[in-house]
Amino acid sequence: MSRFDDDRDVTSSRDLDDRAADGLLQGRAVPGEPELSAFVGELLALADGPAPAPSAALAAMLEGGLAADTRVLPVAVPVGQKAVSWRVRGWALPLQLTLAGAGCLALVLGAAAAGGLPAPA
Amino acid sequence: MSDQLLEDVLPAAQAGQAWALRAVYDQLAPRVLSYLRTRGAAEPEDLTSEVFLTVFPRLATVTGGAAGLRTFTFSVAHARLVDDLRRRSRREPPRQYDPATDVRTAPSSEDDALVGLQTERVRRLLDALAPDQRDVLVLRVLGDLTVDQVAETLGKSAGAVKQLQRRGLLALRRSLEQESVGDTDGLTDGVTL
Repeated sequence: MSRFDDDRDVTSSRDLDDRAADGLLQGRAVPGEPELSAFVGELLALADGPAPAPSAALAAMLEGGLAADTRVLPVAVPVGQKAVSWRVRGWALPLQLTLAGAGCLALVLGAAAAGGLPAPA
Repeated sequence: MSDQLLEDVLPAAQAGQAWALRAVYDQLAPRVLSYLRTRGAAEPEDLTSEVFLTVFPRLATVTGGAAGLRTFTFSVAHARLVDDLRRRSRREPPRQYDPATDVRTAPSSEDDALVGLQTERVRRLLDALAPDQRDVLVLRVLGDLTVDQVAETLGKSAGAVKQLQRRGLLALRRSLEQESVGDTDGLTDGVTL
């Protein structure tokens, strides 16, 4: 049995449904769960303090803001590009096959017209 | 942590304005610090600064308003924490957490002592959980993240996160019950009852 073996939890006589779990984790007092409610309250209370003093680099950023050239900007995708590219991709293979077939047919017909094909056996 | 305030300042923060970056920092940094501290980061204050040095230049890529910002911030915090724990595990053999030698919780006043004791107890209870369960519970509570947001942060499915949170809470309940009856099954080692 590992240190974290929690089979006993699964077979616990007092289970916990999703709704109760959500309530607890959102810091709400859940009836019948005073210990867990109190623990979550304690955990939340640890974050009640002020923000920690920033490092020198972060303090400079908080003081002076961010210059445009230091910001990572989202890649602009033109509206509709995705749909168009999907459409092109969707047609690409049939189109290529049709063109290849037409090319082969043209070659055979051209060779036949020039008398370049072998006579039937 | 006010989502409305985050929503209000986010556009200005995304434009790089200092006052808005400060507002985002003041709102999220205490939670990030607590997350890193309860999860055992070696230098949680320094790591918190590193998290925001990573987050701020990428703010313009954040979508989904305040919820998206929280998810992104805690994703960065989690990644930094994993790096920190991994780096330390390579450098030094694992040691049992000992609050008496932890300078981060060394009391400098009665209030600090109280907070230190509270942190120590919370950490002790969280440390008894499986790492995945601990990640899910702390991100849900301190990060104020939904199941889906935690799933995105940890790279797991929503179903797996639900299962982990349920098992984690059940294990935590058991630890709390043992603690309340003075059970000395490992959890209360070294503590005078």
